[in-house]
This record gives sequence, structure tokens and C-alpha cells, in this order.
Amino acid sequence: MRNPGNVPCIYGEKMKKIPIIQLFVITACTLIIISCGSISIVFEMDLADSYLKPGTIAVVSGTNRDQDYMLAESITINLQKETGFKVMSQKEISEKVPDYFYKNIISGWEKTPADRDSRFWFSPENRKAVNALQKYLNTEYIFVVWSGEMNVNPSQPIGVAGACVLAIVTLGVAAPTGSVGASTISAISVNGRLLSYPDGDVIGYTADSFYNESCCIIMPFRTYNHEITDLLNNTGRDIALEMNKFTKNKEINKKRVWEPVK
Amino acid sequence: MKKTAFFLLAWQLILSGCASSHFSLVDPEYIFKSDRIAVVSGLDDEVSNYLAAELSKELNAKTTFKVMPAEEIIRRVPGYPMKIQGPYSASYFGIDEDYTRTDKNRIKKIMSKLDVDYLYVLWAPSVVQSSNSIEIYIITQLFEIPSFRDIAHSSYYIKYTAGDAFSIYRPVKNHISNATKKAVSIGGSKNMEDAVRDTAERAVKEIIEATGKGKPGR
Repeated sequence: MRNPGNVPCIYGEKMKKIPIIQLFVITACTLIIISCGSISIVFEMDLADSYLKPGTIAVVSGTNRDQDYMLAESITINLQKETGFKVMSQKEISEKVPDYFYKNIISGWEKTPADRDSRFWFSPENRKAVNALQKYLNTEYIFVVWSGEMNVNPSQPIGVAGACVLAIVTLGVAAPTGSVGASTISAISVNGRLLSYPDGDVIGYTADSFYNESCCIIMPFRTYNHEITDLLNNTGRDIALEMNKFTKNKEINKKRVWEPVK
Repeated sequence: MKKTAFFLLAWQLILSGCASSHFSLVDPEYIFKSDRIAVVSGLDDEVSNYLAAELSKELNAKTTFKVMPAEEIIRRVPGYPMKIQGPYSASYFGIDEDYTRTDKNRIKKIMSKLDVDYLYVLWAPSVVQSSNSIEIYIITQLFEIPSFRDIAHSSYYIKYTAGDAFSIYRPVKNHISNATKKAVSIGGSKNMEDAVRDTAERAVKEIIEATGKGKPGR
């Protein structure tokens, strides 16, 4: 059946008149916005009914690796934006602490004794190192973060996205990158210890893997480093938002103990 | 339609030309007037230090540069090896080069302690394990002392086979330098020592070609 009049359709003569570039741009825009992230446990307090007062806090990178610094910076920025904490910037920290980010602060994470819960474990040496920082920072809380394994794993396209990728491959746009037709999943394991002062006790922790997925169409324009940068930014935001849940007033948090959050 | 095809072809060529380059002089006309050089690691990790030491040995063996031994650098520079921000914007999986980001102040501090004419700084910030291989991404920058002139850049890529399966995966295709493409096409190396030796030899060969500092008879 012929297409009557000027009604747009995907069959018949009208299809030939759809500009290919327009089709490509629409497809690209649609796929660019298909991205998502997923996480499970992000931040927990040591005691279930405890809470954080929105006082002064410094988020420090546990090692001198770029990913840990990026993570600390992302948590800092998001705590500043989303919470009532008085958050020390990374620049301020580097001005106060000699060789901050040039030297590792913590060490021995891998030496967690087998009989200890690794989520809470913080060796005496590491605690001493963070306590030494407190003399320079003078904040009520120090949150030290460091990462473990990082992964980038291209996976197979799914459904509509796959069809669109196939079209792109046919057009020859994405072929040179070696990442054709793949949505990319990046992951990082993150550890954090929140210390409260003046006591220097570990009162909260982060110990989890964080994931980010971005869709295929953007891969020709990005390196895997961009994927990790996105992952670190999103991870920092998620941790900051979760920490914010523990800064509610005491009554709300007590109630939370009796009525667990679903 | 022809325009579209031309656009797509041009785009494909642009993308395929994004591999990082090997040793190249910033000013192709630059003439090396002196010989004293030190090779330093820009990071305090084991890999960067090992590679800097291997490159230093190879330079000493194959060129007329008078290379300062690593022990002497350690003796003269307090806190060496130390972390120096390198010429890259990101280096998690491969290196996104950006030669404007090098921390010149920290390099100047090292320069002030060494009695040499050139400082060759090496960073190996990205070590990627894949299903059956390990790839080490390296970037270097050569400075003239005391002018702190940026003389040359290079980036290399070492790949060697790994016996076990690893969970970190990163396709090999991006970020491979021309030098590495040659190395891989020859057949690749079986272990880290061979791979590092091969790459150091290639790197020094390129330095000799660019500087004319090869030892006679080699």
C-alpha cells in the first residue's frame, strides 16, 4: 500500500526522504541519555542509632593515586552542595597538610586480619596516620577514602540500542575504536573510614563496589578514562548523599532504628 | 549523499589517527650541545622506578650521553622517588596526554639538586591487566637544564603475557603508540623482563635517531 499524502511513516516512498544525518543525530541523542548507575551499601554508621552532626569535616585521599584524590574531591564537592557539613576543600587540605596527595596516608589495607571484619578494620598504624592529619586539619570529622580494584568491561548491546549500534557500525562511524556496539560497565571498589574527633574513633565506614554503565554511542568519542571519571564522580555523589541521611536530627534517627528504612 | 559519505570517511580517518606518538622533539631543529643526563621516575611506585632504571641503563650502554646512575640521584634528591604530576589529564586505563599539566615546580626542585644538562622524566601511571596480558602505559618528557625548556615527548606501551585470568579488562586497541605497534607485530614478548628490555631498546633507538647521540659502532 502506498503512503497517502505527507504522513510520515517508515515504509514506502517517504522513508527515502528522511535525511540520514537527522536520523543519525536522533539515534545518537537517544542513546547518549541511556546511562545508569547502581550501588548497594554506600555508607553505614558503626552504631545503628548514631547520627552525624553537620559539623566540620575533611575528606582525605588515603593514597597518592589519582583515582583516590578524584574520589575525595567528588565527595567533598557533593558534601558541600548537598549537606549542612562545613566541608574543607581539597585545596585547603593541601595547603595545611605537608605533601598531601604526594605521599600515601594509609597503608596495609590488605593486611586485614582474617578474624576481623574488613568493613571496620583500620589498623593502629593507619589510625595514627589519620590522627596526625587531624593536628593540621582540626576538624570534627575526617573521612579517609581509598579505592581497590577498578574494572572497565564492555558488554554486548541490548535490544534497541543494539540495533542502533549496528546501524552505526554499518555507517562506519564507530569502527576504528574497537568498542563498537558495546555498552560499557565500569566498576570500582571503595573503602572509607569516618573518624570522629577529639576521640579519634572510627564511627562510620564505606566498603562496597560501585558501578556505572554508559551506552555504546558515546564510546567513539570517549576513552575509558572518561568512563572512570564519570564513575568516580557518581560514586562521590552517592557516598555524600548517603552520609547526609545520617545528619538528620537525633529523633528521626532513633525512629529509623525501630522502623527500618525499606 | 556523497557529502555524507565523505563526512563519515573523514571522521573515521580522524578517529583512527588518535594513537599516541613515540619519541619526538618539540622543536625538530633542536641541537643537543651537551651530554649529561639523568633519567628520573615521575612516580614513587615500583613499576615507574624499574622502567626508569632500565631506560637509564640502556641509554648509558647505547648512547654518548653521560647518564647519572640511579643511586646518585637517590643520594642527591631527598625523598626521591616522589610523585610528580605528569603530562596527562587522566591515566586510569591508558593515558590521556596533556603536556601542559606537568608539575614544573616539583621538577625544578629535582633539577636544582642534579648537576646535569638534561632531565628525562618517566611516568608509568597505568598498568592494565586483561584476560591474558598486562599492558604498561608510559609517558616521558625531556627537559633542558637550567632553562627548563621542554625538549621532547614520548609515549610507549609495553605488553606481556600473563598466565592467569584477571578481572580487569581493557581492549588493547586504544592508545597504542607506533613503537608498540611495531613491537606487537613482531610477535610480542613472553615475560615482563623481555618486554621491558625490548621496549627500552626501541625507546633508546628512537632517541638516537632524534638526537644523533648513538655510540659509534653500535
